[in-house]
Amino acid sequence: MSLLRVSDLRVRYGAIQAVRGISFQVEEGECVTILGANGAGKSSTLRAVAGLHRPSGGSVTFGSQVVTGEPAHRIARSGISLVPEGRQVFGTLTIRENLELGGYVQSASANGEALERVLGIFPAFRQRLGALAGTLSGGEQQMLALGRALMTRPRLLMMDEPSLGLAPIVANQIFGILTEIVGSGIAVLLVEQNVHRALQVASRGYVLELGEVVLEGTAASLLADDHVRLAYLGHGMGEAE
Amino acid sequence: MDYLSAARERLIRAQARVTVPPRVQTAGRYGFYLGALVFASAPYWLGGIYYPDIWTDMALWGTIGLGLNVVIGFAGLLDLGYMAFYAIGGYVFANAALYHGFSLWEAMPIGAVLSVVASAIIGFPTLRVRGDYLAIMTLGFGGIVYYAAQNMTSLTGGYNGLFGWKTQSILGHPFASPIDFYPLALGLTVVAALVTRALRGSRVGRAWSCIKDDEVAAGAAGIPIIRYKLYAYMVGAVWAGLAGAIFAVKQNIVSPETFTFNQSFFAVAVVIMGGMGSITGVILGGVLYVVIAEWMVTYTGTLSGVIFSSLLLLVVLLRPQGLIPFRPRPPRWLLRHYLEDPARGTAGVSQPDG
Amino acid sequence: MSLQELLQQIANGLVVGSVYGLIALGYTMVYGIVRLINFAQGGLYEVGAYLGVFFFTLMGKFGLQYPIPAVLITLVISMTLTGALAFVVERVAYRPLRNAPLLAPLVSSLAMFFLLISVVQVVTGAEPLTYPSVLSPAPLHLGPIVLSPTSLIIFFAAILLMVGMQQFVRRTKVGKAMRATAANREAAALMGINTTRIVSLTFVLGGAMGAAAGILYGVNYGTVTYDMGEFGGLVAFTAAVMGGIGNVPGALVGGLTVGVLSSFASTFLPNQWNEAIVFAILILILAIRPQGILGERVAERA
Ligand SMILES: Nc1ncnc2c1ncn2[C@@H]1O[C@H](COP(=O)(O)OP(=O)(O)O)[C@@H](O)[C@H]1O
Ligand SMILES: [Mg+2]
Repeated sequence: MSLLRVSDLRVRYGAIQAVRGISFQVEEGECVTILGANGAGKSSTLRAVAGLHRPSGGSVTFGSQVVTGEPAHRIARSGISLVPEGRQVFGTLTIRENLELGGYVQSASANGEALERVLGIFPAFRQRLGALAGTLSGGEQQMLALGRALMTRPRLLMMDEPSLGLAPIVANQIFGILTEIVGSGIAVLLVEQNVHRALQVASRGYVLELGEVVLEGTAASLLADDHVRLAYLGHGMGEAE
Repeated sequence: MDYLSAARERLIRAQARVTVPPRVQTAGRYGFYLGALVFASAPYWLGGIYYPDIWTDMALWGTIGLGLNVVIGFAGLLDLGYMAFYAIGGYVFANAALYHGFSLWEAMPIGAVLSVVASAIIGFPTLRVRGDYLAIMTLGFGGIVYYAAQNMTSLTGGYNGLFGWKTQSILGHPFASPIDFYPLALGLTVVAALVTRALRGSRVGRAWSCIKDDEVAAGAAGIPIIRYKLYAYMVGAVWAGLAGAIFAVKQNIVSPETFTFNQSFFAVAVVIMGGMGSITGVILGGVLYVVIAEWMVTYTGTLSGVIFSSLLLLVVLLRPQGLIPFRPRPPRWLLRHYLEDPARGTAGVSQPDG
Repeated sequence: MSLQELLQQIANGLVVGSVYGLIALGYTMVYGIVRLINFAQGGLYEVGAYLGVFFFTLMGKFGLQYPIPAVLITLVISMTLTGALAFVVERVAYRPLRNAPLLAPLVSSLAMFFLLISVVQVVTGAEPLTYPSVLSPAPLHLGPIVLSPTSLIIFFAAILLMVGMQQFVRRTKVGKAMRATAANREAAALMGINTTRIVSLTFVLGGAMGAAAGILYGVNYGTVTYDMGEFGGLVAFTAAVMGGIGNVPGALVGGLTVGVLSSFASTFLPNQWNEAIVFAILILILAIRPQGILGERVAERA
């Protein structure tokens, strides 16, 4: 049985139908990516799964639980963690407080362990635990947001455009860490503009256009697909990578 | 919901209204006018002193509602010190009549002008701040005017107020009994209704409505926000200034008790309960206020504050658009454009924009 | 004015200012989380003051007059009840409107304020009520300054409550959740924080602080009136803005500043102008420095 099963999900904002009945799955320990142009409905999908926006139709099943329409804090507690678009760290709080809030629902001892583990992944934070998150650079904030999400000990980590607005070197670091996370057995649902990178990390992908899934398949098959190459990778048939 | 889809929905609703047979519509409108006329003339056929007095109060509160409607209903600014301008109108008249021998006719415009000047002075620094700060600042301004009325004894007569001017008259007809004031107050309400209605449809009115809907977008579209807010504030003050003078003449006294925070609160309640932006709505709000206040004085005593605030709360929660909501109609040409080709209208609704 | 008078005025100002600071704390905490001026705060302050009279008198009837325990019990009970009332205020006047345009929750909280003071007026018949005198009125001489023991205790009680609340928000887990919710409500929900409950809690704590302020005010001045919520609410709002609204330590700074300013105003100007001056200060502060003395964020919400 899949870890996450989304079927016929619909999201609307007033008269605007942003997601028009999409279905997809994420298996235990698997990394899946959702690709698509700006406005295709990727963020809306993640937000609906995370409970930040109530879907107007369809269902979301996590493990054996149906979580459709549950409030965000319940879904977070059930083991789904979203690193939202634009990072959304708590700017007026310190790095330590941001991370501790990630472990909000855990016991103090579990929290201590998780903090050690996360600081192991992001050693740069260890010296700066007292710094305000708002003073960090974009890349550091992305790492903090990721670390904070890991503190919740998710079974499914969802990331919305983690490399947005970051320098290529920093984006590389983030993808490196992401690969490690996938390696550690946490399932990841990744939304990325950088299709190439996304398909390197992910094993499968879905292509979203105007709120509908137009294509799905393994990373390799998507990389080879003419439509994907033309529309998202910026080069046509026959060109070698 | 974004602005465009809201506009489309309004358009569809307007279309639905247009499908009511025109004859029925016209009949409905004349019925409404007839009813209003019968109601407005009631003091004449009810007679006595009590009814004309109550009806004059209704007209004055209707005018207060109309003036404050410009500020809250058109421009979306919460003003919690509106009755300060009513006070200025009253005290200016009292001073002009008592110490300078002015008549009501001469004093009313002066009161209105001074109200506007006061509104500009207070509005200039305050209108730059956010909506909720503005509410507090106007509350403070109302408080200052109230305490000034109490303490600037040489100008205001202090707690006792000002009184004792000679009976005002128009064309040799003295204002002695309530029925004499009534046409004056009613006339002011009608003028206020016509003028504010015209303003609502004008270029200024459209600018206000943009600011009210989305201040940031209005600013980005090049509307000078602060200037237009100031206009709304000043236009609103005019009507309170004028009504305040008539109120003073009617009561034969001006005293601070009429301009407390409570009164300004009731004025806000009149606009919100009646229907922000709606001319008919706020007049009805004023009428209802007087009816309820009168009923409460007679039967419930001190419960008036409790009843009023509960009513206001109920309206905000259950019917936020007010009793008679203002439904902005799309311009005629746009309607015609869609009505001639219904496909365009429906196509516009089902299709989401990107 | 002699130095001695100056010091005396500052001392008097600090005492009232500490009470304003407590009310301001309620405004500032709620504002920090939901970006709304909770007008009802002035009403909660007044209700707290009246509950205080009621319980003091009640305890007097049962022979519990020994002052300090009486004050403490009254404080705890009234703060609890007022907190419960604030919970209702949030449920009724804020929560259903949280996605509505700003005007709607502003008007509903205004209506709530008016409802609270009107109920007090009806229940008490608009008569001022007298607080039992709690401590011996013998004044204390602190160098050149003369203060009643009562006002000294009030000052320290108010400061203690404010510092306690600040530490609660800074150090405890729930306090951190409150700050996280204030900083970014969605992100807080993603951490598993039940932000709806945090908002409720914030209203409750704000109301309780308001009630404490009302009781301390009553104990200090000896009488409470049904219109105290209006003036107290406004002055405290000025204090909250002055300290930078949303900024918890700022409420204390703002309260003390406004207290001292109004104390000076009442020295230099005839007494009846006192309130008008406070309103003028309020308008000036809002117009000139809306971000407050401490200059913390003024998040825009149109
Ligand atoms: N809060 C919102 N209100 C109205 N429309 C929205 C909102 N958020 C997103 N949309 C619309 O929904 C569509 C999908 O947006 P989104 O999910 O953010 O796309 P993506 O993340 O793929 O770029 C877009 O047309 C966007 O304009
Ligand atoms: Mg997106």
